[in-house]
Amino acid sequence: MSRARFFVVRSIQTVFLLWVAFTGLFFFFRFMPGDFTNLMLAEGANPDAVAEFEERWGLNDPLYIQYWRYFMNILSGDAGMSIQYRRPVWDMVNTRIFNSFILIAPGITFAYLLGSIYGSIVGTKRGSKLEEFGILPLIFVGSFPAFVTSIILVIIFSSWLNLFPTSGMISPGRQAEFAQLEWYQRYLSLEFVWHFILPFTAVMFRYLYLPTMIMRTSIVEVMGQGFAFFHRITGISKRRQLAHLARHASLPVITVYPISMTRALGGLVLIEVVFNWPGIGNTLVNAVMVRDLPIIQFVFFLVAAYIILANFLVDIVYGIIDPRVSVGAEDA
Amino acid sequence: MSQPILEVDDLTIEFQTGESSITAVSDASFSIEQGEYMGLVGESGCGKSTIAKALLGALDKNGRIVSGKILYEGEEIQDFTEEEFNEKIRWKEIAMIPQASMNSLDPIQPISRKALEIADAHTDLSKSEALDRFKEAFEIVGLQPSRISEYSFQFSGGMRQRAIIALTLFLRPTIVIADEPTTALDVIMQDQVLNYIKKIREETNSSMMMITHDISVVFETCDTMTVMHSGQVAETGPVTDLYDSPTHPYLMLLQDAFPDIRYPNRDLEVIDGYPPELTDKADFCTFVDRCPWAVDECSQTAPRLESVTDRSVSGDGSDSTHKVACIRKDEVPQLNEERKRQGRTTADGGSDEGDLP
Amino acid sequence: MTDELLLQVENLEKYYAQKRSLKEIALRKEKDPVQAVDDVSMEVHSNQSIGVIGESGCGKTTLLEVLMGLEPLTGGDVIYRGTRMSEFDREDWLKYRRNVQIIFQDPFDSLDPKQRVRTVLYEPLRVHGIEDKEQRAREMLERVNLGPPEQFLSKYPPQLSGGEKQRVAIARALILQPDVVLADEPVSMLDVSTQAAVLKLLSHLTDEMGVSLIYISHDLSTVSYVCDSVNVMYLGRLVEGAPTERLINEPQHPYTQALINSIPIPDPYHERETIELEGAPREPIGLGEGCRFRDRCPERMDICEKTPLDTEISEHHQTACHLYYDHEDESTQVSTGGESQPRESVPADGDDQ
Repeated sequence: MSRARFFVVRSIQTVFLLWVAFTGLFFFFRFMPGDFTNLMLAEGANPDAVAEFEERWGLNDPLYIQYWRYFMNILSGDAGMSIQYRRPVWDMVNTRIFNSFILIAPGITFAYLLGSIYGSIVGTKRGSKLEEFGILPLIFVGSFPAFVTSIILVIIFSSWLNLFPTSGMISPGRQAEFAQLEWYQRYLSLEFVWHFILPFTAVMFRYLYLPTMIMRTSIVEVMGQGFAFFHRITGISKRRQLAHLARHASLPVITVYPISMTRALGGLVLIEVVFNWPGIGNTLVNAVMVRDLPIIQFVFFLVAAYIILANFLVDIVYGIIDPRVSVGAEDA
Repeated sequence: MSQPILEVDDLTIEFQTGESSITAVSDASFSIEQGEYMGLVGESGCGKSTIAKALLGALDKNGRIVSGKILYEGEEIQDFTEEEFNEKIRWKEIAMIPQASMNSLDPIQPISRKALEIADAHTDLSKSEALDRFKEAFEIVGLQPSRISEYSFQFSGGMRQRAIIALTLFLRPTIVIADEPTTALDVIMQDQVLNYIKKIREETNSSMMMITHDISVVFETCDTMTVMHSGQVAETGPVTDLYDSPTHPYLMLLQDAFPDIRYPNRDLEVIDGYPPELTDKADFCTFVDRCPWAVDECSQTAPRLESVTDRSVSGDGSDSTHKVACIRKDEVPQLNEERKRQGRTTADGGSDEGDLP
Repeated sequence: MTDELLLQVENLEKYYAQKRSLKEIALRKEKDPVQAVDDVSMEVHSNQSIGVIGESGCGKTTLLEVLMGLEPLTGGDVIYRGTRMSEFDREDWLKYRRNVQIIFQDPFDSLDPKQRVRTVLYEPLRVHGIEDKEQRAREMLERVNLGPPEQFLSKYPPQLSGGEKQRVAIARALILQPDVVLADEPVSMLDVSTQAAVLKLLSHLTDEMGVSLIYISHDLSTVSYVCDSVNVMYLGRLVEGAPTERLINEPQHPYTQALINSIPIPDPYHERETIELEGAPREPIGLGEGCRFRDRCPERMDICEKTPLDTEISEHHQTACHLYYDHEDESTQVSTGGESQPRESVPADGDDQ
């Protein structure tokens, strides 16, 4: 298999998976007991009104037509209307989705970069005090849920030291000012960075132990491999040798990256609550309470897409680093 | 005789393991001449691979040279730093085919890139010059030059080993160290590799130090051999001298312990016991517990390497290159003859040609 | 000693299905199987030691695994004292496993580092419900020259040297007084000094205890010290079989010749004639008709596209090579119809049946 083919095949598989997730979610929500209309009825709504509601929302059409309509709408960027708020779903979630994304993805990614570097340093210092104790604090921090770390950070840095704001993404009173900016400009402002530092740190420290530990074990193992010795005796510089080793050792770390990305979603809601972060967590919890299916379905799909794409990204990176995956062994 | 290209002089190497230390090499001495092939023979753990690593300054972190010298072209290299080894010794002067060389190629680096990396570290060759040279080396070991840019996992085990040999050769080193080059191989593959090693000899004037436990391989491919037992050099010299008149009890027994396909009915010698574990430089003969002719003196002082008066060649033999470290060196051959005569039904071990077709 | 036919390997075949990708399963694409062992026949009589030699990948280890019952056979049969393995019931298997034991290649792997020697030796006795374990274990340790037994019984494998470990493995294999012991390269991981001792021990014990031995290895020089007869295997098939000395001195099959000539001789004056074989054996997949050695054979002829049949060159010496039979006169062949005859190895007391 050539490398190009590997990437094409993986892309097709990814698109296929996205479709499977989309379709699965659609039918799952359609067949789930207790939808919005049932809820309306249970709350004593007029059956005629419900019928009229169903008619208006196209709920009486055959399922495949509903599916097709939804599919085409999504492709054209229309995720439907929120039943509760009567507003387009997309408008309700777009900035919030991004806020959540920026809350976890950079934190975890940075944790993996930092962890890999720290892990290789710890791993190469075999038998030293650093190797013995260097990871313990990280495990300690990592053993708490992220929101606990968040609260502690808020208490220390916001309440006591008053260095950072306790909550929010933008200081109160400046919302209007920011509302006029292009959407991406607010993320580039100092104001945002100032608010971002604490949640970012909380997420990063929560996930730092995993890549560090894997990298340490991995680099120790790689150093014992025949090719590590061979690199040394061929007399190439120390820096180059380390680069070779790190490349190898990073492979298992890359494998767990999407797992952390996925796990972080679980703690998301609580972090958002602690920092009063305008993310998707709140919106989603709300929507689930009232069975606002268009929102739930779309957010679930985005989450699925996020996981699928994280895995795709990892596959691609892995394929670039390790030709055994992308080129494949041929019979000699 | 000119100055040897490599001289190992009273070398002692120690490894620190926790609180205690292990002496892997104890006052070992031998030398290799320009263009000479030397076999370094001994059981696993006798220190032969440790010496090879020391020659390249690549001992494990807990190992260090306690005393003695390594002279490369007359220059002492045992105290070189990692950078000095990179600059002056590694690959350009001394290159090595490591043990388990099938796993020595980085699986995620194309083989030609490794070659370029090596050329870049040690020479001023341009990229195309380096690749041309590497292609040549590929051809010598019977690999298609068009495949230099492939990854090692696209090669079979035997081809990987040959690729390593090509990498070893292409900067034309003065000495090639081959660490157990055929140990994990089937006889037919072993034969192929030995043929390439013989071919290297025809194509270059490199010297070779071949580390192995298989004396038949040494007898076939090498000019001289050095036999080690538990960190000490027992005997060293031209292979024919060591074959004709083995003088150290260990070598004598080893020769009789080795299966020879020509004499399937010969009784194999068993060397009882195990080599001792040294915590310090040995001040006794490490073979003492396994030697049938040991006397008290053997455990009181470490024997020095001394020239053997060759029984088959006339002359006083004082400048002979055949040396042995045994205090009973003048009596042992006699004792061995007697032992063989006494009831041992050893086949005609002395004849040169067997009854092979 | 009586000459009894213990094991009969009859046209044994072991094919492995190749892994198929999802796409291939969906398209119902069949893949050729891996022909690890193909049409192998041989007989093991009591008190015999038979060697099977060949390069790695020739199927010798698979043969052993099938004989051990670790892998199910896919064709032919193994007959143990008249009962067919394909028809074994639970009882038969128990009996078979008690009487056919194995010694593995790597003593560093085949002993559990956390089990004392005592536990290792008691285990088979316990499984087969044998009393006086202590007594038997001690006796066995003495027999493999691990004395005093008390000292070794309470040791753990990491406290033993390679040679000692392999002796424990031999003791474990022999403690049930089996009929047949299968040995897979038992000395290839050992040093020369230890190797000789283990070879001698193996040879001596099988004689003394009346155990038959199937010894597989790539190294004829060690096999020749232990075995009365040797079979040569190439790509799943036996290509030649003869009493050891005859095989070494008069190898007939070009592969056997190459194999013997590639063994280095521990003698600096000896000029070895080498027949240099290029490359490596093919993958044992889709081998089809024809001699399997033909792509590397220096004597290759047109007829080699047909599968050669076993030919008896002289008594107890057979080879499957077109050089050795008269293609005009089919009657000189040992067998007809493409089935090879069981290879008879030299019976212990010459009493051919």
